[in-house]
This record gives sequence, structure tokens and C-alpha cells, in this order.
Amino acid sequence: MSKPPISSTTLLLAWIALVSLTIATYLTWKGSFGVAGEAVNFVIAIAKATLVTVVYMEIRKSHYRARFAALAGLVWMAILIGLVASDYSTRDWNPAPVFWNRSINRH
Amino acid sequence: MKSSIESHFSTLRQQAESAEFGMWIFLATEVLFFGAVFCSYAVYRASYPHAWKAGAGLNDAMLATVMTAVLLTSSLTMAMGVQAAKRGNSSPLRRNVLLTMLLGVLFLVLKFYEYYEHAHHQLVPGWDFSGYQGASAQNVELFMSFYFAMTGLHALHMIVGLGLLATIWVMAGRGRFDEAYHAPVENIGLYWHFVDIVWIFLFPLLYLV
Repeated sequence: MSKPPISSTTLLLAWIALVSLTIATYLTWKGSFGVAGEAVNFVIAIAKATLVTVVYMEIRKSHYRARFAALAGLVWMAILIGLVASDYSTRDWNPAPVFWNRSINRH
Repeated sequence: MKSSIESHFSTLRQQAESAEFGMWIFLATEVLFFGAVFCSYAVYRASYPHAWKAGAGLNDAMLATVMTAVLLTSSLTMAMGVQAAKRGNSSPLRRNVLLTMLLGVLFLVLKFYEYYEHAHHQLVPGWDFSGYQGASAQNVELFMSFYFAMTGLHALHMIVGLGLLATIWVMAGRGRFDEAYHAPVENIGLYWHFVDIVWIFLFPLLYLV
């Protein structure tokens, strides 16, 4: 393949960053920061996933078709999450018609 | 060049790029596969936040941190294996692939030890969940169902990955890869890193609620 090998230094630095972020995740949890801590941990997880994708999976050096496929996966997942979130967050807006409940109770 | 080009490709580079494209398409379907599970998790977590917190408390966060470090290290050795394959160095390739496999096995041993601990403490949903005596037992049991399903799916992917790595290790031993042809090593590497990414998200969602 045309992609040149990544230097060992870069690979090691990425590993150090990943393990450090993992320890930071654990410490954030131990600190009991509540919802803020959970949000920080989720951001850290995204940062770690990005690091793995960029350095270890070499997405930036990949052919544009491969990058497009990776992007497609994320876009479809965003659609999935968006539709599920919109469904569950709007269920109480309009109560279901009474005859729906009667229909459900019969089964 | 040790490996010939398949008849439907013009160049080795075209063949390698096609293989990589195929692997990324497969990974995109995997994103959706795990994405659906993560979505279900999010819906129930929003419905039962207290039970989710209680359920996560049943898991060992320290052990999960160690497991995460083990898996991240296996990604490092896998990346070093790919690097060696690109340079046409068979010996470091085999060494790094073997290390990746050993770290993968270590991860699974720790995972199954965790499963054993849950079974020992009667915390297996649908089988024996009498070990939990706190509030909202049914909802906590639901969390543990998610825990077993998500980590089980991940473990299944790792077992498949170990089989693929073993194949790469044998092929490297037979001198099947060189500087020009090493697409299988790169693609199995992509798969292994993807499995690593899935765990990166499972770790805070199942252990650090």
C-alpha cells in the first residue's frame, strides 16, 4: 500500500496519551462530580476514539473512499440517534388516542 | 513480490485500496450494529437513572480500568505490527501480532473472571439475580442484562479478532507479506482498533455511571 509507516515515537506517544486519558477517566469518576463528571468522561472517550482512529487506523492517510465509508457510518449513526431521541423525547407531547390503548389492552 | 495480483485488479495498490475500502464499509455496518445497542442503552438509562447508577456500582471500575489499559496496549502492539509489515520485517511483525493476541487473551481472561464473580454473587439476570437486595431490583437487573449483552458482543468480536490474528501470524511465518503486499495485516489491524474503540465507550457507560 502507498501509506508510509508511522514512526514508533508517534505510536508510543499516542499510547501514553490514551493510557493517561484512561487514568483521567477513572479519577474523574472517583471524584464524584455527578453529571459533569459523566459528561467529561464521555468527552474523554470521544477524544480517545479520535486518537485511535487518526493515529492507529491512519484515517487521514487513507484513500478518500475509505474516509467516506467511515463518515457514512457516523452519519447513519447520527440519524439513528437523532430519530430515537426525537421519538422518546416527544412521546408525551400528544397523548395517544383512547382507542389505541383499547387496542393494545385487547392483545 | 511474493504475492500476485488478483485478476480483476490492475495494480497491487488498487487491490490494497479496494480491500481497505471494503473493510471500512464493514466497520461502518459495525458502527450501526453497536450504535443500535448504545441507543437502547441510552433510552433505558434515561428512563431508570437511579437503577443504572446502582447497577454500575455492582461492577469493578478498577478492574475495568486495567482491562482498558490492556486493550489500548494491544492496539499499540497491533499498530507496531502493521508498521513492521509495511517495512517488510517479518520477525517484528510476528512478535507484535503474538503480543497483541496475548494481550487480547489477557483481556478476555479478566472479562470472564468478572463474569465468574457476578455468577458467584448471584448477579446474572434471567438466571439468578437474588444477590441484589436493593431498590428497583427489576430495573437493576435490566442494566445487568445490558452489561452482559454489550460486553458479551464485544468479547465475541475479540474472539473473532484473535482468530484473524492467528491467521495473520501463520501467514507471516510462511513469508506471505512484504513491503508491497501487506493489506491483510492492515485490515485486521483496522478491525482490532475498531473493537478497541467500542470498549473505549463501553468502559464509562457500564462502569463509571
